[in-house]
Amino acid sequence: MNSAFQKRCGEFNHDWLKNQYLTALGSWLNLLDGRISDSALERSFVSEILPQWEGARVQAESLACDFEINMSPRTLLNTPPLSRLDDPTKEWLGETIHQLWMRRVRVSEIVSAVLREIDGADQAYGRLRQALCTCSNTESGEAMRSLRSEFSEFRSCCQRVARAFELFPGEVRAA
Amino acid sequence: MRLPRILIIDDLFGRTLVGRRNEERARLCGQYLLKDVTGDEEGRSSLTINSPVAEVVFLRGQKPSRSVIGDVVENDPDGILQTVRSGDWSMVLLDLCFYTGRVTEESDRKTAGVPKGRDGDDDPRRYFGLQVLELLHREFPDLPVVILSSKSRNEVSLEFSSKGALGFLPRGDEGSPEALGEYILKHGLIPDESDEIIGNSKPILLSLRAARLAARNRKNVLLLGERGTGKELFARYIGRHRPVATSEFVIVNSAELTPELFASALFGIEDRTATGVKKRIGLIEEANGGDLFFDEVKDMPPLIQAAILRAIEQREIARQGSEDRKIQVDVRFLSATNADLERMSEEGSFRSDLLDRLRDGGTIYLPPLRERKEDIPLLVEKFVRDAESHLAGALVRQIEPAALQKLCTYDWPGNIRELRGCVFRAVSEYPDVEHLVPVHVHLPNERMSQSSVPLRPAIAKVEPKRELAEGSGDLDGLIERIEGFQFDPNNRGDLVGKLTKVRRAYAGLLSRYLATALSATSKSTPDNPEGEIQITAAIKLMRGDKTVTTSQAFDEVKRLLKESPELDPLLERAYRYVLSLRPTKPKSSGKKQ
Repeated sequence: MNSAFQKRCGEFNHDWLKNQYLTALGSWLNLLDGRISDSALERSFVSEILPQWEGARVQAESLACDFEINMSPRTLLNTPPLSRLDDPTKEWLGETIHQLWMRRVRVSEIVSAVLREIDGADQAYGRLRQALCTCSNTESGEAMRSLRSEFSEFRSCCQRVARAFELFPGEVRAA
Repeated sequence: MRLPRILIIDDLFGRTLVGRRNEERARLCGQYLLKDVTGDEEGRSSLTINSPVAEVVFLRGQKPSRSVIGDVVENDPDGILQTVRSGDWSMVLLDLCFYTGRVTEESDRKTAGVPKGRDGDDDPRRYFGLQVLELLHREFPDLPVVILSSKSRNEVSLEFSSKGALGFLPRGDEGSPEALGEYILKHGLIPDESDEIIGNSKPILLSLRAARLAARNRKNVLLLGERGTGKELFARYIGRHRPVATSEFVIVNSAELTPELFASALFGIEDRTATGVKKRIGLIEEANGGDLFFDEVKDMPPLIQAAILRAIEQREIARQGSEDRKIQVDVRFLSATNADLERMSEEGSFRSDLLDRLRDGGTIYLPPLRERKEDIPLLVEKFVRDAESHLAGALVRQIEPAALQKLCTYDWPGNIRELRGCVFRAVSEYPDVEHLVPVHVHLPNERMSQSSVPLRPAIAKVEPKRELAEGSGDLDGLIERIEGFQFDPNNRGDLVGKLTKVRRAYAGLLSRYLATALSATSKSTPDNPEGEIQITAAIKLMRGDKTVTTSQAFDEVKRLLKESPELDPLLERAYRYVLSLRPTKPKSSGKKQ
């Protein structure tokens, strides 16, 4: 089990994306709809919260690409008792179980799906940023109400990213 | 309207930060439209919710609740249980993963006050939230607990279900105020938003929840409860919570229909020119697309039971006189009774197959008032205001705690209806006061004891007049109980030597009935400001017949008191007075006594 990778995954998908970013986006949409008022959120959303995606996107892509190496059952050969096997055995056995796992778990498909969703969110983010350039006051919910559909689209894309990350198996399994 | 009160147990949103607000919490409240009433934060919130879904108290579930770099954070199951015990929660939203351990510079930088986390904190098999769920379900089995987590539902679906959670709200994903509102409506312990069914006690909230759940489909529902518990109000409540709004709500009171009228009233009649019978739509057809409330369903005659069964099974009926022409109907039957239908079906007086159909959408038990006395203050407040508005010129009054205390000492066998009658009497007897005090409240046991205190000759200690309509419910219930009472032939021991006792009880009841009628009809005169008994008026009242003559009334008094074991001073006086003026044997009332 690679707890460091899982921890990174958890920090990205649960601690940041779901618990912080998506809740902020949900709150922001309610603000645009006039269901809440929050001057602190109005001031900080576009300038501080929204751009967090840019750093997070890099992190998300890196997690998707690292998944195969870190969650393959081949990693079990690095810890006892399998680590006590001789190197040539580890080599063929490792490759065999890795290939079997790749097929059974459809790793490439999952990774592609995650990367596709990240890309989709990034494109939606780009469109949103472009639309924001036309906005005279980005510290006013009222002024940005016309961009609700762009914000909503970006949120939906982020939700899909979160769901795509759930496709990753939660632990390293030999079988 | 009071908002549902929710407890959220969550390490991230529940933590308190030093010198600043918990922004994650504010975002969560903004997302779900929650009004934070925790009151643990410094500074003023910039967040205002226009129409909150609920009031919410946040709890970290860990010690310390306010942590800084260097602190070691540990889970606190005892503190959680203590908080849950201390409040009336409509629902608990519970997180799964709680991070423990030391708050380091690095962990604090990522999320202020949150510790680094120990191995196993995020292991689905060891989630602290699941342990809490188990503890809560053990101590508060009726408390609705829903998981609110950013973790994957699939990882824990079996565990959270088996440990008693009612559902799972994914946080951040599809989380919306509407989804939360739907959960609260479905699972929450919340009062009737229309204030027609008054009460915040757990028994009534559980019944309301059962009613809302039953309302979600079109299946038939059986309402069981003692008289006066509000069965019709509950039926209407179910009607209001049906998924598709329809206005049809038709009431059938089985007790008011004769067996002959039952069929035509329910199924309707087709035109019969030969006999001159006009076409009439039946109640079932009238309720098509909506609900038919069948009150006192136990009184349904056997033939009608069979016809109703067919109507439920085949979803079609035929009007009388047109049996070949079937009419499709979509009606939900909401039936109510205070009888033991299960027993009646075992004894063969109620069809068991019909009973099963009438409760295929569930059985809802309506708690008697004695099991929810904490609702008495709210009910009294409502009834006092109603009474003040009904009674022209009545002053608005403050309800004194001592009066409430007195009302809470009684068990209210007639339930809400009886309490309402009592409160209405208190207001109508004392319209010109600004306080409702114990002396205004007359409890039945108190009336009985009053009738046994010595009274001055010719003057009764008169209770002020009561509104007959309000008080009649008590007596109706008594009659119902007496009429429905079944002697058990298998319990011979119980039958031995009771004849005298039954006679005495019956005679005592009649004499108390007379005493109360005498009090209710007494009149104040300059000589007797406390009231003078009016025998003829009392008998007129008891018979409901204004044509009763004085001699008939006197004879009635003699008959009523003939077997009374002992007379209180009021009745003694009335009896002596009657005998002095009409010493002859009473004429027969025309009915077997």
